[in-house]
Formats: sequence, structure tokens, C-alpha cells
Amino acid sequence: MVLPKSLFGQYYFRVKADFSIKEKNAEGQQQLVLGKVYFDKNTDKLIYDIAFPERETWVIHDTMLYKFGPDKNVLEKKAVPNFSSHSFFSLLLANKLKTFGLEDQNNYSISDVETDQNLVITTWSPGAQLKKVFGDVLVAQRNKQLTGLVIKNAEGRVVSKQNFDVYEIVSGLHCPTELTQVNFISDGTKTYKVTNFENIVIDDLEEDAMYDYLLPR
Amino acid sequence: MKQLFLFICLSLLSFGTMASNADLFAIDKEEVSAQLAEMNELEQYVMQHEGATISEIRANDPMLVADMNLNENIQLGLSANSYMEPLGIPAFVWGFCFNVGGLAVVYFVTEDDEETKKALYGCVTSALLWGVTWVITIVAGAS
Repeated sequence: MVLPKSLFGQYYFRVKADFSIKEKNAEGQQQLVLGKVYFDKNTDKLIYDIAFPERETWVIHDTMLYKFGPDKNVLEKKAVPNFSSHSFFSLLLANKLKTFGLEDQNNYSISDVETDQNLVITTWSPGAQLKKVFGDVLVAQRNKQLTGLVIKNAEGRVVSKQNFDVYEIVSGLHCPTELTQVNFISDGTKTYKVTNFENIVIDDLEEDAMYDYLLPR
Repeated sequence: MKQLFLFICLSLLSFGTMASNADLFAIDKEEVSAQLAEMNELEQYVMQHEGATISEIRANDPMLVADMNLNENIQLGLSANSYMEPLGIPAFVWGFCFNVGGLAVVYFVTEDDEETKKALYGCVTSALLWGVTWVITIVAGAS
């Protein structure tokens, strides 16, 4: 007898959190973005309710990004790649963050697994057609939790490192609360980014209007 | 014999100091913290002044951000570079190759004025080139 997959594990569909993003680019320009983020798997809407630098609400749905002002007036509407099913929040709810969703990518396959300094390091290599453009992605896990990510370019040079150091268990889900990212530019410069999440709520049944933010036709 | 012993010792020493794959994941947190020190300071200020926006800070406490090289254009990883071109074909090429039809595709798929403008430029360039070619052909035929 075949049972639905949802019977074997908890089905999570919503996540909400306070977020803080601090960033410095290679030119020395800095950015601070604060607000709340909402994601609903069923409505497929990712909502950034931004409080700083200015009050704006960004809604990503399908292949569109809508930006609303404080009075819910549309500031901008533009097409973006459809990444919601591979977004950080989608992977978190699907409990696929530990492999960064690479197991669902047809273009990447495991080429090596090793244990080093209490880390299980899995190397994912791109398929033949992608090898000219993309390099390996190394995923580090400790206690079956994603702790690090290294992205290499086609020449094998490390172009990005991400650390997921701090976790919090919310409703049985292991949620990273601090993400540190350093990108290495070819000219030797670096970019720095630290993302923090606080007050994480899983499967919140309040604020329906935010999770299913009304979009213009 | 001494040289061989020295070679083995040096080889073992270098093997012992070789970076492992686990070290690849290491990020210098002190460096990151130092690079983002100003943003940490700004975050603390905003936490203490709930609801403060950058324009309010510029109006009420300009010295706080005066020396900060701030990028106030929110990115969230969705820069213009991530813009989706219809079928991966640039808007200009749509207009250039498919004229009004290409212009319509860009307009309806992207719903973006800037991209539609690029398609229009492609359309106009194509029309101009066609016109010039037509004139040259007529002149060449008449002479």
C-alpha cells in the first residue's frame, strides 16, 4: 500500500519571522534592511514587510515582484525569476535545508562524501552541460544540520561561503537564525552579508491577510 | 641518508598543515563583524527608536549616518541583473527581430516599462536598417 508522503512527517506550510540583513558590497556601500518576512507555501507568496530603510512591502508571487508603499499603493511591479519553490523559506518548511535543496536539482549530483572535523561534507557537481558555467557546491552538515555552504566557479575557485551557525527549534523544525555570507569577487575584493531571524513562528494561523497579500490584477 | 630523512620530515610537516575541506567553510567572523560595525550601530539605533526610517534619521539625527556610505536602494537579492527576459532573449533582440510582435511579447510578459523601451529601440533600429537597405537597393537599381 502506498501512503501519502505527508503521513510520514509533519507538513509545514507557513513561516513568519523578524529579519535583519546587514550587507557591505565590494565598493564599500553598506545596507541595513529590517522588517518581517512571511511565506505561505499554499498561496506561494513571499512577503517582505520592510520597516527600514523605508516602509515598503514587497510581495513575490509566481514570476512577479510587487512593491507597495505604506498606503498599499503600488510603487513598482516587475518580473523576477520564479524561485519561490527553491527559496530559503520553502526549503526550511520542506525540511530540505540540510542539503540546500540540491537533491531536487536534476543538474547537480553527488560526486563525493567525506567526514572531516565532525562535519559531513557532500560535494555536489554540476552535470556536463553546466560544467562550463558552474562549479561544485560543497555542503557541510553537523548532526544532520546544514552548517556551511561553499560555492565554486567553473575554474574551481571559491566564489561564496555561507555559514549557518545558530539554530533554534520551532514547532519541531530546526530553523537557522544567523546566516553569514562572504562572496569573493575575481578582483580580490569581498562582499559581506549577515542575516538574522528572530521570533520565528511556524504555521501561524493569524495574519491571513499578510500571508495572502492582496495583489492587483 | 640525512637528506632523505629531512625530505620525509618536511613532507610530513607540509601534509600536516594542508588545509582540509572542512577549513574551506571557515569564515573569519571578526572580519565580518568589523566590516559591518557601522550597520550594527545603525541597527541598535533603529531598535531603540522603533519605526524610525532613514529619511527620519536624516532629518532628526543626520550626524549618525553622515559618514556612512549607505545604499538606500533595497536589493534583497533581487537586483536588475536577475530580471527575467522572455525565453532568455534580451528585449532589444525581441524588438529588433520580431518588430511589433516582439514589442508586444516583451510588454505582456515583463510588464516593465524599461524592458518595453529596449524592445521599442530594437524595433526602431530594425525599421531604420530596413529603410536604409531599401533606399540603397532602389538607388543601386536606378543607376
